[in-house]
Amino acid sequence: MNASLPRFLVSRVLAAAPILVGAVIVTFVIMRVLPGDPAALLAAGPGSGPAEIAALKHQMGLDQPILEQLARYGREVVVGDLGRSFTTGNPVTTDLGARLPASLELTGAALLLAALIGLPLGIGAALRPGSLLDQTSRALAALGTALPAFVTGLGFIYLFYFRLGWAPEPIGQIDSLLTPPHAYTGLMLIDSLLARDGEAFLSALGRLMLPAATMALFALAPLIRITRGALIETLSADYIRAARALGLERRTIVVHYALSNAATPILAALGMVFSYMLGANVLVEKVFAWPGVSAYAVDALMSADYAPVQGFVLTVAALFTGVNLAVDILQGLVNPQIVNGG
Amino acid sequence: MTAPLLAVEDLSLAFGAARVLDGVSFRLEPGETLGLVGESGSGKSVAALAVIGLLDRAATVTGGRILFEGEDLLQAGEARLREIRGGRITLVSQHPRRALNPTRKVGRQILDVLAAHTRLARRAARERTVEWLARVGVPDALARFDAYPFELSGGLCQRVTIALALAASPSLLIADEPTTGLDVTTQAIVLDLLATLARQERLALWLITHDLALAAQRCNRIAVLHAGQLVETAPAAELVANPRHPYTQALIAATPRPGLSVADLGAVPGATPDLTRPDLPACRFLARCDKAHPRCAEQRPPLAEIAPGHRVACWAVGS
Amino acid sequence: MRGFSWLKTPGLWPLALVIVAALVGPELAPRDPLLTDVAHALSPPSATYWFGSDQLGRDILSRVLSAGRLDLAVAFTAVTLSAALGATIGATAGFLGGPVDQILGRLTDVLMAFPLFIVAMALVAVLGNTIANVVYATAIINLPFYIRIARGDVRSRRHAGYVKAARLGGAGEAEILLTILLPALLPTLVVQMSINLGWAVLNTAGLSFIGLGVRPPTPEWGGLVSEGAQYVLSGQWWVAAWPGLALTLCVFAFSLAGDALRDLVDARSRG
Repeated sequence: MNASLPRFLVSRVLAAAPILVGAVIVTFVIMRVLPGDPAALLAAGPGSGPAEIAALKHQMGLDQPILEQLARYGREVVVGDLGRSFTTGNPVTTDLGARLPASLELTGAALLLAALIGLPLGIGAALRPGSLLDQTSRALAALGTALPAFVTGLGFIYLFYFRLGWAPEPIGQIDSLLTPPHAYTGLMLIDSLLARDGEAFLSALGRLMLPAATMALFALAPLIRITRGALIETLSADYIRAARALGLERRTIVVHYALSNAATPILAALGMVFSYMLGANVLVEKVFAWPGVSAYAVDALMSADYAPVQGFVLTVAALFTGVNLAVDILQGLVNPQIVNGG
Repeated sequence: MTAPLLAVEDLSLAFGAARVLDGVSFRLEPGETLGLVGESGSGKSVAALAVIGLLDRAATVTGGRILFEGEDLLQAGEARLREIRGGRITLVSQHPRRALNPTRKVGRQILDVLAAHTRLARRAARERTVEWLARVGVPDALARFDAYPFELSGGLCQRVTIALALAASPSLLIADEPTTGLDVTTQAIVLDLLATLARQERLALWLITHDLALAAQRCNRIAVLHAGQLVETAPAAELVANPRHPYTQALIAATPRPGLSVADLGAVPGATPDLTRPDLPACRFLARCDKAHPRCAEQRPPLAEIAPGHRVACWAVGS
Repeated sequence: MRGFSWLKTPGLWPLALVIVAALVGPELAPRDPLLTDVAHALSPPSATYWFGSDQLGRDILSRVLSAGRLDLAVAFTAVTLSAALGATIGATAGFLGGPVDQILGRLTDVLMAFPLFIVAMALVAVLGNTIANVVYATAIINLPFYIRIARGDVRSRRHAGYVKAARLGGAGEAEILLTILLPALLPTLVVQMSINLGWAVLNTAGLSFIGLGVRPPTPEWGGLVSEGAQYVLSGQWWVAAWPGLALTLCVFAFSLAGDALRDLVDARSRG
């Protein structure tokens, strides 16, 4: 069986490639082909005269045929040249690289939180249908769907910062009076642990809580719903009935018979939830002034600095593809039928 | 007379308004093979589920007892029932492939059964598993321990389910339509296997089927179920030679045999009555019966012994 | 509609309330939403200012009501455009079948999982920061849902008996598509639209929150929350809370309505 694992991995990676290619084409189309004379917007910045714009157009190759432009853009992307931001003055790639860990830390923490709460709730609700647990989970899920992420974020700030004083000032990733630890990984929590800087760690943790909770609440709804649904469906399968007829221990049935089969759709749900969160990330980073890539893109956007926005969309596409790939692979590991196309 | 292994006494069961089993009684001796025969909807599978306590939540037992080795299973708690299921009484169902966990190696699944019902150490359990795989006829048993169900053919899956059922050495195996979905050759092989193992393990076998011919071939005794009522029970040969209940007679007339053309086959007239109706006659075969008395609607005929081991529930069969 | 009764479908009441409030509310608003009164800036909810006043002394209640009308108008327009265009594309592709249909199917599947808010962001950024562009962007990102529904529906009906009968009766392919298949889509489309309306409102609000689309002083729920965000830190919750609440209730009303409509459509199709 393990002979086909490498082949499976390769096929999954190959399947992911078209999405990235598609994303490159789409960002190209949006930024260069749509009306609005993106040439002027992208490179020159406000306040440039027509002569400068024309010169810049020629320099950027924007007077070439479209397909040539696309090819050139494709090459630039592969090389890592995503243009330059005129508000920060840095290459976009550098800026994105510096800020990506912060976004990943936030989204990762939110996903972990959502999974830690949502998975048990969904599983519990499926195992005890109609119980208080079931109904609470469903109410929670309904709430999470209706509440917009930025409303929840502000609500949390009001409650936990202003009213209760539990949370620190929701500005940024760490207390501005503290020196941030050396950036080994870029992830503030890990870095402060590696630097054995307890104060920094606690400060970072405190500031991570509210934005992560906001995003997690948003993600909780679909996660609970899908987990519950997947498990209920699995529990009605013939092999579960057969396992019960054989008198297997309940714990064995739940873990090795029910969950291992429900894992496939649940993993898919986690991947989907991550994608949702990428969207919510933009709003949450703005509310909490979190120094991530989304905030970077939004700030650039407001200043009519479009290269960062383009780079940001590509980054999101890459993350999206990466997560889907990871989900595919994990599903293959959990369910041998997938690997063998059985 | 030795105590029966299983004694179902006057069992009645309902799914909401539908009275699915009505006063069913039969026994099973240790080491015996009993065939429970009936059309679909007769309640035969439900009877099996009732015995091991795996009825759907919507089902209610409205009367009777199920005595297994003297213990009334209807009074047993869930913990006790779990011990019994797979350990003392075991059930093999239709669609063998579906009965196996697709994400778990078949060897591990057998180990799960052993873990639930025995105290074997790891190595001993592994050996016993491979032994059982070999005994049910899985070729290359040691390698197949690591196989996943999707890697096995339908016939092999069926063998594995039998191994699962017998791993903990129960004394009663219930086989519910064990040949559905299998081709004729494989059917014969599976049934032969069951018979051999039953003999080797001193196992009582309760075969549930709609196929009277199959039951006649493979069983010591046959019980015929119609619309939740047990209408006749007799040693297999006797039943086929001397069917006394009109339903049994119709069933036999409808059973294909060499020498009979399809045109010669009778059909059992009518259809199973709607069990939700409040106005069901006392003998539920009334509407389809050509020997009906007015008495049949009012009073249920008891299972009366008309010959040694041969019991019939019919007013038209005089004693 | 035959047999359809407002009284019997409570799921639709919140939505009806929301729509009425949007249509009539601004007329009933106590003050001009744009009228400033700096002397009374940031006053908490009271008898004079039911929802309190914002940093320029404007009445929040009036602004919330006025914003409701705008948000709903944007959402309705965007979703209707999206449904019309998406259903046509999807139905045509599903009807014609073949490789184009397959590719479209794969494409929509991938798109639906992608965080589309970001695409909307990029679109509005590039097209220009106007309300019209917010409508177009919202319409575009919702296309995949309608394409998928229309495609699925048409593909399953394509070979149905009555379609073949129509063909035999001499109807042309285009005619079949327009007169039989598209109208049959309507109930499912309407259900999806009511769910999408909630997302469209959230989308618009989200865009305004980050500064795209509707800009101050025009009141829009997301923009109002954005304006009020900084005051939450100092405890003046009402500037952001009321528009946030209105937004949440509106989205909730749409999702309830969507569920109710879906039950209705399911019941109908079953019998």
